[in-house]
Amino acid sequence: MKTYTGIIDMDSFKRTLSDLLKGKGGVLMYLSAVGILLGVYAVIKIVIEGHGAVTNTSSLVPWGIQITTYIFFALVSGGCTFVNFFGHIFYKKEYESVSTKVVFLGMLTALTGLGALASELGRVERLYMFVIAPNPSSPMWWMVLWYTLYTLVKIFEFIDTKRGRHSKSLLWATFLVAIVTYSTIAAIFGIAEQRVYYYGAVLPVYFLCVGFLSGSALSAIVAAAAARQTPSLSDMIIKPFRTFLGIGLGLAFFLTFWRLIIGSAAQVEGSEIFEMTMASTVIEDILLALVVPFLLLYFSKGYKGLFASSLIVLVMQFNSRYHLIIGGFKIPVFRAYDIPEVVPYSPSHVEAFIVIATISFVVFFYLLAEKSRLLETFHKKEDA
Amino acid sequence: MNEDILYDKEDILYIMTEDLRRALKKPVHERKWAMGIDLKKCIGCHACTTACMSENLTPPDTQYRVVMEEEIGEFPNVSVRFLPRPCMQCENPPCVSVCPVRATRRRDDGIVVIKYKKCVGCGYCIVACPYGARSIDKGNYYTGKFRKETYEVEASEEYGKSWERRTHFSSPVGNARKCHFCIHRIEKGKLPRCAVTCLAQAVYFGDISDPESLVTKFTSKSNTFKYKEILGTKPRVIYIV
Repeated sequence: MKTYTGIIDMDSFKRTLSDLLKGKGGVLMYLSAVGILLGVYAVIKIVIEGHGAVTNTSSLVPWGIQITTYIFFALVSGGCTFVNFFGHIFYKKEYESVSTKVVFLGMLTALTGLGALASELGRVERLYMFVIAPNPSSPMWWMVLWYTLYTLVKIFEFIDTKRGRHSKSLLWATFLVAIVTYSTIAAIFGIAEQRVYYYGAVLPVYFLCVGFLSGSALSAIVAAAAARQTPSLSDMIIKPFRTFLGIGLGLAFFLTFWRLIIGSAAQVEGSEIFEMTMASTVIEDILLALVVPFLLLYFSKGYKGLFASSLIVLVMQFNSRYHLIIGGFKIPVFRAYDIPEVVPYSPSHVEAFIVIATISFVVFFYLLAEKSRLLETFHKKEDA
Repeated sequence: MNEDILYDKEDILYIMTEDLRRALKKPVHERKWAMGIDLKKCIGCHACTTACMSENLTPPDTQYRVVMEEEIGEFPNVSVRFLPRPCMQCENPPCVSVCPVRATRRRDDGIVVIKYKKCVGCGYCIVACPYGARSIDKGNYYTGKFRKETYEVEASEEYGKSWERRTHFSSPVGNARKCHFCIHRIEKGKLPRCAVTCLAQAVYFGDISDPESLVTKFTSKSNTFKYKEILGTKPRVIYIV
């Protein structure tokens, strides 16, 4: 029986670290630790040898899998924020038990996304330029501003949730900042007029919807794990997440379908990319990423179905983000003698390690936080 | 103007150099640098591409001036046409508005420049340029990463400064790069390297606000077009067909 008053229960934290060093951390923790080490190796390679030597991005494909990873985690984070908001609004009782976990995941994935983004910048040491030489006409500058604000608000929200306060104004602030942030991220791509695969007003709405889906999927995995631990409350815990995931799948299906139709009808230079990627869009981005998880969700009732469906959604959403980012560069905007008709790109092993490391980072620190009781809501004079 | 007399009596490089020096006497904001490329004369030799590479010491995967080759027609009536593509130095450049840190700007004389020391290497300008005229310097070398030839590491004179590629931390490595009409040469009263190298003398360069300049005379005719003009970028490179 112990009472603690800070954000972190230091005794639990020390015990978790001690268990980890003694080999009692669990397989997933050690695997994710190895993943993080791969990321450290990748960053060292980039610093020592330079981007050009170890990554496969180029002038024809300036944004590769690291930007894909950033977009993926940023959208997952935004989705967690939406889930937290709607959870508190519509499912107060059912959602309460996992709210701290969802908020923590939103914060953790936002920070992870930043890490992936930083690893792709050519001159990351000049990030201060965003402060001393701002350009308000650039969506990227606004993205950095809003994303920084969003990450700070998420940290405050986590502290607030952890303390059991659940401030309504903070809940609304995070929700509104998330909407602005994620539509701004989409605007970076959406205004690129000559990149037909990105261009258009539908992209900000698309990002908000697939973000909600991705965040719902990650939150649902956490909820499924919580339901497994407390079988008596299982149905109650997973109820909101089944609904969120179903709605997310429906919205993502609607917008993916319409992006495809709009693109297929386009007659501008470069719009052949929609025809070129038609098969992968239909099979991977619609059937495997949306229809299969929906059917799985519909025909299964327990937490296992929710877990499986969510896992498929997360994996396939990463795949869809990769298709989206790389697809924008497949058709070159200018064809000279040595520029191929379709620009190829496949990530190098260093880029792959960065992706593994970011996923591992989320898994490792989530498990560490859970084992250290960081994700339990603190109430004053709490009996643990 | 009688073109025949012009060609017979004076070399166009001499005339363009005179035009250039006359323009340099004007205040910067009164100059409007522009380039005309006569596609009827272009033979697709890529001399401009290689000259540009040696002038600006560009690494692999970074080319300021490439030449597009396109086959037209069906056998047996087939021909090839060429389209050299420098930076279009747009009057309404998308790359400038998207740069989050103001590392790229349009000078008063119309040349779009990059401040290497400011550029964070985000690549957004490369995504935004509709002409594919920008590259990212990934810090690669033609001869590999261990043994670098002198010509690969010696300092380029871009923007009138000395840019030595000692390590991958030295700008312009990690930065966006692009054609700047050889601004370092222009300011010394020299024509861009592509213009002086062109075997067919298909490149005209000068101050388009000067009605007497050669570039104005050639590009003010009706047989001209601007690449992807429909995008509203207002290029300062004019193709003569």
